[in-house]
Amino acid sequence: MLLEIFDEKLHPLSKSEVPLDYNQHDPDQKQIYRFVRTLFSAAQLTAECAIVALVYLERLLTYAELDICPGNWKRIVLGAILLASKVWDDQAVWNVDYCQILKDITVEDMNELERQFLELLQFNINVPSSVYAKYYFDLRSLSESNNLSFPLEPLSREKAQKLEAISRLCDDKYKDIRRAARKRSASMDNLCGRRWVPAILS
Amino acid sequence: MSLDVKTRSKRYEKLDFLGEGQFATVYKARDKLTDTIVAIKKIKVGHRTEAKDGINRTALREIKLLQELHHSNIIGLLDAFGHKSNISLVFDFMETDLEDLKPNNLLLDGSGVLKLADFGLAKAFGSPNRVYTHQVVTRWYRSPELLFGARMYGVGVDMWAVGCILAELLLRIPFLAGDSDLDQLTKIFEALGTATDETWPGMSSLPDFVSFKIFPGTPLEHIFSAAGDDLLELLQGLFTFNPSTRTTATQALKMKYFSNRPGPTPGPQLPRPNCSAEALREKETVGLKRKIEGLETTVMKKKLVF
Repeated sequence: MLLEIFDEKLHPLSKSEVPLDYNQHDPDQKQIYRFVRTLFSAAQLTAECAIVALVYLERLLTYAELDICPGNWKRIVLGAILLASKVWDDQAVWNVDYCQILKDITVEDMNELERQFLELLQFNINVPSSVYAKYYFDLRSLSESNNLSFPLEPLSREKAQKLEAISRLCDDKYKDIRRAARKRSASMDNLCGRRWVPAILS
Repeated sequence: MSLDVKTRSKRYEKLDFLGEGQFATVYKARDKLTDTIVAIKKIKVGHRTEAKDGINRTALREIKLLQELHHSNIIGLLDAFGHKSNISLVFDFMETDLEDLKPNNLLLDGSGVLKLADFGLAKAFGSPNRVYTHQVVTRWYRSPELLFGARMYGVGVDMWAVGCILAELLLRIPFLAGDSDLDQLTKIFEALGTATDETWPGMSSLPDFVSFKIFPGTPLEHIFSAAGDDLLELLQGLFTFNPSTRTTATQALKMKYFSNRPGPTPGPQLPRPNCSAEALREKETVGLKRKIEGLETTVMKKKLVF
């Protein structure tokens, strides 16, 4: 089933003429990556937003019994990213901002895309942490099996200092609570008292 | 699919207009599918913002939060649907207060169970979200660290708000009703005494810190003259300037106020609007009975007199 709102022939993303065979050839990975990267770098979207967008995209295909194909993938991906960023990112990207990234689209078109996407999702926009984690690890496995490894980054000095600062802040905050809690019960971890474990900088 | 969308909005029959807030209109409606009474909150179409940003993002965040949270004291989101560019949220129908969409939206259901509502919107106001930077939101429940522009804050801001709401319940008027952010801080310091770097380490390094005239403050027992020692102790904890030593919800629940007599009135016996006189009288008798029983067994604690 092909829904009109996602059809690039009916709702073109650029002024250049849509070729007759626009719905014939599957895009290669590079093409998909370029499209997604343009949006992510221009709107400064986060990696988390990409994962949520994927959740929304798959949810849409299931709920609307829709097939993603050469003629609609761009608008489906665009709708998923727009919605993911809107619902989850604190830094707001307005619908109208997408018109600066994809020069030839109108904000009315973005609004309509968003509205129909939401209705097809039946407003089911929450992503429980378990679902998020599942997608995260699925993506990791997928990249590994395709030799696109995303190794766990070695901790840089800068990052370690940042993490340490954050954890110290939380630590100070909950110090009193934890001290009070230890009087009543203690976990095995705390048997030898409070330990300061600094991040190891190499 | 479009058929499905239509059925969703036609599922509800509008019965009554309940009220209007800054961001939404609330209707009483009947769910034809389940034959129950619901409240429908229709998010207002936001003029220019809507044209540039489509569906109201704070409404979307509220939907997301309500789908995540399931708790007997949080209002239940039953359904959400869109119609043209409108968006409507369907909630359990509450007997009280629905017409008042104030930020501390505390509702009571038919059995007297407290339900929190509207917190989805409240959260978005606390976010660095350019949509609402120019909007005025009631600040009477804002903690001093938020007023001083803290970027990193935690549940302490909610506990401060709890203190303000509790104080309002005692005074029957808002406790700290500032008419600007600066005035809010002035009201806070006038009442509680100006905070210092000793009572609140790190205060002066907050982004929007400004120093205030030194007010001595009024002892809480003079402000809340009818409150007992246990209640004053609770208020004192909630109105702690330093957010990291402010009483937490867990600590608060362990304080004497919550175990001392008299115990809370069971939900179903709470007075409610539109309650018939006979029903209220019946309740009074029950209430009296409970008090007498209480007298027989224990020494009565200080009673609140207003």
